[in-house]
Amino acid sequence: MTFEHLTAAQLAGALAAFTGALAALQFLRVHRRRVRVSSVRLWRSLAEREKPRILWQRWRDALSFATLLGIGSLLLCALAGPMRSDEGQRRRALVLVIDTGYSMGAREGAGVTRLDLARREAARLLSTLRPDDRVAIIAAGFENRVLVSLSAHHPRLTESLRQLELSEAPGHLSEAIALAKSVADGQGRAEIVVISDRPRSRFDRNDSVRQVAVGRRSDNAAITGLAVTQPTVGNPRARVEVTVTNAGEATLRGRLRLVMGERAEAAIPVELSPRESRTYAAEVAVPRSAKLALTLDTDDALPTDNRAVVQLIRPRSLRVRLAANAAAVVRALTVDPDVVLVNNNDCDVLVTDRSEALSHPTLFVGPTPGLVAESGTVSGTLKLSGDHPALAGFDFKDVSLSGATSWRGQALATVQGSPVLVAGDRDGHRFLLPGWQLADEATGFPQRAQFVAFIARAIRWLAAWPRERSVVATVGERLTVEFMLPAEVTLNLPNGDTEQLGAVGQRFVFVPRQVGIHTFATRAETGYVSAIRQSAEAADITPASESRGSQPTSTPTTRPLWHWLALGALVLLLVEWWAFLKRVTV
Amino acid sequence: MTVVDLLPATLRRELDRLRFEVKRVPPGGRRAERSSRQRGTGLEFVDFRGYVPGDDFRALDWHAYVKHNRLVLKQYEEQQDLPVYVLLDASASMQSSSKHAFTQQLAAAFGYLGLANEDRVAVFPFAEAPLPPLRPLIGRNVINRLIDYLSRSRGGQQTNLVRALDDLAQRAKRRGIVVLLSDFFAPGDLAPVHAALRRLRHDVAVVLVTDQAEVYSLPDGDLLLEDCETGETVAVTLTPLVRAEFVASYREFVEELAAFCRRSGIAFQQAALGDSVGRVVGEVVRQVGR
Repeated sequence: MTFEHLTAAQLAGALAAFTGALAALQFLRVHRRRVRVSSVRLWRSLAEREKPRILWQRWRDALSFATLLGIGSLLLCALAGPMRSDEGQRRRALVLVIDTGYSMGAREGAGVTRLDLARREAARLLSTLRPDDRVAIIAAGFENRVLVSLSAHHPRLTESLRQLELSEAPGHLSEAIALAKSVADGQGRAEIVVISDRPRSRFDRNDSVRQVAVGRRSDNAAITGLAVTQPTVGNPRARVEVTVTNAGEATLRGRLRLVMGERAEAAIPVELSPRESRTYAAEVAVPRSAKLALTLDTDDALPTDNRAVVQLIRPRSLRVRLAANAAAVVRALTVDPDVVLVNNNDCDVLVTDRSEALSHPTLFVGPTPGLVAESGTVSGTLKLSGDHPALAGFDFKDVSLSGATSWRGQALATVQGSPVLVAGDRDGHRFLLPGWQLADEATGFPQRAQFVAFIARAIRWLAAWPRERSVVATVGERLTVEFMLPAEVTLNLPNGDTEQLGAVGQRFVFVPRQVGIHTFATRAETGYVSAIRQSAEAADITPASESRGSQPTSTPTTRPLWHWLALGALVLLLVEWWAFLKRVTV
Repeated sequence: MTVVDLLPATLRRELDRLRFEVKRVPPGGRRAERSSRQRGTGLEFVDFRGYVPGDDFRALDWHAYVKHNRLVLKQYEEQQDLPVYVLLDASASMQSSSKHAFTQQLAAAFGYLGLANEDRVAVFPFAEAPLPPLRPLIGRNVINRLIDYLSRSRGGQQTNLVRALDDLAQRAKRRGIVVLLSDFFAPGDLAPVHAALRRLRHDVAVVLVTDQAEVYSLPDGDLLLEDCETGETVAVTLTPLVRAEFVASYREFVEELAAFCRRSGIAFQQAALGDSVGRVVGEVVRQVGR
């Protein structure tokens, strides 16, 4: 039997209080008033005459108390909403899926978050279970984790509830429910209960689980978009575009403050109608790499999404020294907005046709012997080899070469299987060596738009440029991070933790889990991923309107028992009345 | 407390019309107004007897000497007083305010009755043991001493009727009238009391003092009745039915006592609180004189 309105602990407390009160009243009731009389001789003889009833009288008060206690207990149990399960004798399995998404951090009262409410609801559910019922707890956050597999060890379950932590991304409830079903699979009488603030329609369209909804407030404003535009040359200012969303039902008024390091850059008045999103723009000076913090000053339910931080970098030009007479190459370099041609050795890349000791990353514009071994000459169509970052996405199939030098080395492109474009590393500097004159008009290559892109990609790869990159992403968003070369990567997380990723490939998928700046550092490159909280859709933290979901399909049918208990109380009341009538005798 | 309090004028007028009627008082008393067996110097002629030396010459009947030539003496009846012993139950059961006052009034009335008739009145209060008695009083003018004594008398705890009766038997050698004022709520069986009453060589009148309020003032419900004398308790659930049973039981108790008195030639009178004191005393006087 379970109770719908009270937990077992609450019911036990109520019964204890009732028993105490009834015992006190019973004491007063059976406590005989002491009266002095002249003599008890006649009274005693009168009592002697009633002697056959003495035994009954001795137990009468105890019976009366027991019946009153029974009446009160039955009524209390009836008020608690008793439900009888058709399968009451079998032990039950309960899988609790607790939403730990960021919206569960919304404040519902003084110091009480939705997650706190979820903990209470979970504890209430645990208290209604029988000792041998088993419970599993799944935290549905950015990653779904089974905190406790099916267990009847209540201290452990309680401790796991205490250890629930908010994630900084929406909880993946659908996946968590699937996980819960796999946990409950084969358990027979199992029930899945989701404790979440999100409307059921967002995670369970089939009404296959029971939901316990938490949360009431829906007022929330959030920074839901952030874009930074930084020109690489000239103006050392960055244009910051911030999207603010008012997900509540009231007009939002506040200020958007931009702070660079410790210096206040701007304070933009913000006024948004209900359900309105608006983008605000500001320009900030970027003298050097610095963190720009954005804060939306409002008093809403979820203040954690009112902040964002982005890493600004100080971009600079790619300096190229041209030491070769290749008109097509010169033309390609001059149209590149990031490139500045210099005539000294303070350059990032050297473009040359001479073989010499490498003092810089070097792009050879034609075959240069002595750098790598030759393997002959070949003619035919140029074909891309591998997936080198310098040439990723290119297609050379319509470039025909005649008498191109074939090299022994890391092939970027081949002709009839022989490497004609190789990459290497010598004296600590990268180089790209073609087996033909890049600017050879006869190949038809220089006339193509692809040629400009090839030169641009090539010199950027050679210089590992830019050395600093910064992107803005949303927590939970899948990002592809690219490196010029496979390298040892150190990842610094916003919370200060550091992870050594080891040798990763030239690109890998990264999903930010925390709000703040994630820093990727290799020996040659530094990348920043500034993760902000959420999207405009996710800023809507309106809780589920329904307080309880439908009965889960796996839950056995229950029947109310209160009327039976009330009937029992009535029967006991008659017994008590009869016992009271017995009091008319001495 | 004054005479007026205990014996109002109307009561005194009632009592003035009453008198313990006895044929002869036992000898040994003070000269008074009651006939006795003793020959003396009274006014009532009884008999002649021959002169013996030493007799008072004033008692010689000179007319008889002239006529018969013999010295004879005229004998007269000696008139003496009647001892009235008021045996007053002063146990705890008699100490409730209304009962105590009523009993005091009864005792005062019997005392007044004796004193007004020039009888010798003594009061013997008792509880578990005899209490200091009131020395015999004689004459109407000492009524204040009786009232004063009754006002200052103190009660005891338990009732010991047997001891009180035996003590009276030892102290009161001269036969008289014993008026026993008690509620007869004594611990134990009443058979020894009956025996002690029979042993008394006096004219005995039993006045049973009852208070119906003792039953009817008890509240209904679960009660723990405590005997005011012994401290013994009895648990009772008092209802109208139970109350009626108790009244019937008490009536049996009274009738049993009355029957004993009838068998033993003892005057018996029940004096319930609220009864007229004059009527109670009159009934006792009437029974004693039969």
